[in-house]
Amino acid sequence: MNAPARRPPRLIPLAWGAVAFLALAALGNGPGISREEAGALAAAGAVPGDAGADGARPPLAPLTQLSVREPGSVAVHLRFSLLARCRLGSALAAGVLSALLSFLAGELGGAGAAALAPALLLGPPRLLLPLLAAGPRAAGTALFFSVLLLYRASFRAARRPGRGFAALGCGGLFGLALPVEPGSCLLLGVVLLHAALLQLGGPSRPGPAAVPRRAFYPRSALLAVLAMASIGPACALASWPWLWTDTLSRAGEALASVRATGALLHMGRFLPPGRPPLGFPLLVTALSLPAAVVGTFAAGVLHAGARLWGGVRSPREPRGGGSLPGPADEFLLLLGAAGPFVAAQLGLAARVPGPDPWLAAFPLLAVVGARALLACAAASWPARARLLSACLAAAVLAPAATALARSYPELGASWGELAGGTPGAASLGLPRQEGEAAASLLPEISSRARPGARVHFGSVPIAALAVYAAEGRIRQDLVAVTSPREADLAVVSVGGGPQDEDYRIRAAFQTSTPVAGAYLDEVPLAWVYARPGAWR
Amino acid sequence: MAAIALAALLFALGAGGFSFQLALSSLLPSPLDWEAAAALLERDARPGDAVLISPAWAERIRELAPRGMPVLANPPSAPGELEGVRRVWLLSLPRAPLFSYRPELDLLALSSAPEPPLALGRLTLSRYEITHPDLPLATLAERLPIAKAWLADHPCASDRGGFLCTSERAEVSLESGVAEVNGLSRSCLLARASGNGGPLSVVFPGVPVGRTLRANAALVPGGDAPPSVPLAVVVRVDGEEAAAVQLDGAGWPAFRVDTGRWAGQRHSVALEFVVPENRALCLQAVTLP
Repeated sequence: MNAPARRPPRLIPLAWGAVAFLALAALGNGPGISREEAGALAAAGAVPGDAGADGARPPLAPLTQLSVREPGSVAVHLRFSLLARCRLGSALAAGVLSALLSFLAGELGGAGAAALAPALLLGPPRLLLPLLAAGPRAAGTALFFSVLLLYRASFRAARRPGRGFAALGCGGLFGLALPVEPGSCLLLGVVLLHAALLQLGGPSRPGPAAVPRRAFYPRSALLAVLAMASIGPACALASWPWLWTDTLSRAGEALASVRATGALLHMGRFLPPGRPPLGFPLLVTALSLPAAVVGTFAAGVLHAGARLWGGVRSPREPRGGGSLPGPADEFLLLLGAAGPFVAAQLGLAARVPGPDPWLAAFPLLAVVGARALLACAAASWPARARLLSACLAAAVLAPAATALARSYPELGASWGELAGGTPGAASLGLPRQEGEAAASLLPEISSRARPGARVHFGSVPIAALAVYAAEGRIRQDLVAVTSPREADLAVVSVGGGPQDEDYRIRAAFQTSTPVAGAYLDEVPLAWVYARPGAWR
Repeated sequence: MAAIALAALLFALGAGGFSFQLALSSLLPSPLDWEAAAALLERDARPGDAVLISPAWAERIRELAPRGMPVLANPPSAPGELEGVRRVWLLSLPRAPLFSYRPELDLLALSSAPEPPLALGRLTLSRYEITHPDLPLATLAERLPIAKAWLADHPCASDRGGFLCTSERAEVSLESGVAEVNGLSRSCLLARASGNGGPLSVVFPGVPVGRTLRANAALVPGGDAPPSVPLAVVVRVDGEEAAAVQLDGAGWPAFRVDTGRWAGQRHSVALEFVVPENRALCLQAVTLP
């Protein structure tokens, strides 16, 4: 299935970068603020509030703070809301990620793959949401992908200076990635394993040079690993003043923060801290994404595995001459995609609903998936490969696009067809949302609450309330109170787990009848209770 | 051949997913369906009726159902879980993804054969008459406003229908509330201790007593606290000890007290228990004929 040598497309990545940035900037005002995002907004100082339930977490890295803080007056003049402005940094990171993803897909699979791969990443609602939300997720994923791209360049570039610069850049970017997402440290393990196997010669044994190929240089890969191990920590230290005092202990604290803490609802019960059950990240991925996208990712992994196996068995990628993606690339793609899943399986990922904690794997899965889809079309009907590819791509993306349109702005409550959508997921005991759905009740509260009503916002984070209030989504005369006993109105977020908060409010209000609710596909996500006379 | 099979699989997944997304709205009830169900309940419901929803997340009916009509999210597994209920209206969304008929089967085990279900758009409503309804003479939690309470000999202050008890070492709030225990919501006496809780004594005057007093008690799960802590509950009738039981705080353990000696009259019933440090205890007690 090796395609002929081709020039990677340049315009498609640029177009994807621009489209992704603009689309995410435009969509940024819709979804409410989850607890994790509220923690990031508060930690960045964008709004007042609690930095998060887990006070032991280290502060945000300056790069993340920069991405979360609202930009200057340009965005204000463009009439972006405060929330949309705080999310512009993530939109920018997602734009860069889309461009790089399209570039790599183009190099490995041609123009079709360059056009398709970012759509596979940005189409499913559960992958779009973490890229859109303010916080370290989008920047961390972009940096993770960039490091792998530069690492690839460090053993792929034709000229020695190019390889050297790529290795240095790889180390530098790794150093930037570490403070943004301390879990990025697994990159070092990924590239170390890859570089070691390159040295062993599996993928690099000399073979017949029948096809023109670009060289790959195993020693340069080692240089990149060395740069990551040396320049990386130095860059991390330089870019994160928090590490300047008590460095070793704080670095250990930052690395320890990647461990899974807190409880997460899964299949009707709470997972205890530590390692999740076997197959947890794979199961959550399969249930939360559209089945066609999951199938494409799985096909991509199998396709890359088959290419790797073929390359190892009959090597055609000698040192010093060749231009096709070969086993070295396949191995890197597979390792890079597997790394975040393995980390999540080992309990080294945040405990938030959905596939967000292993988001870094999906750009690589999108690359192999897009390439597999095109290869499949080409092999199925060679004479009409382009037409079949377009039809297949449309078929794969249609459920994601429909799910996105149907669930927006409640993207965090969206589940794939294998889970039975949001209703099926609720029946399975999967989490519904993380406090963001309360935002969709604010217009109704503002229009129907009596003047001066005291509102108890329950588990809606303080930072989220500060943003909503600053945007005018909460009427100014409404007073937030901390106890439901003092409140005239109460907002309850329904996460799918125990409903103690709901029961407390029902007891305080002496009613079990809510006056309004937020739903996605009839599944309740938030309620409003009111005392008599407080709701007009 | 493998490529063709893969292409066919991706097409099938894509077409299936697209159809699912388009069809999902048509599988779920419309606002009109909910209003029709609410109107029917408003017209036909009687005291002693409850609504059971299936699936458990179909709680939109809570916005519309007649006020005061209990809405149950979980099917009863024992008659005691339908306390005071003579008839159950099962409101189902049979076309919802992953719909299960288990609530119907559970209800059938407790009731006579229902009338044919009534289709209300994409909702169905069927009525079940409970064959042996669990009709308590009195539910102690509902009598909390007329009760008196002491925390280690210190009288508790009334606080909005409940009590706020303070001693040297602890503060305990006592209210009639709902808590999620052992996976289900329970209406109970809810005692929350901050600090080291002492023995709490609650005396309910003038309780109609039958032959049995049935009670359940458990700790409300929460945080990292261990689920299983032994609980001791003492029941007194007119100051005389009727039972003293030791329970495991996990799950939803039940016990029965023979009150035949006092049956047929009103008596003072007292419950004594200790709320473990910084925990909440849910205690449900009813007198049965």
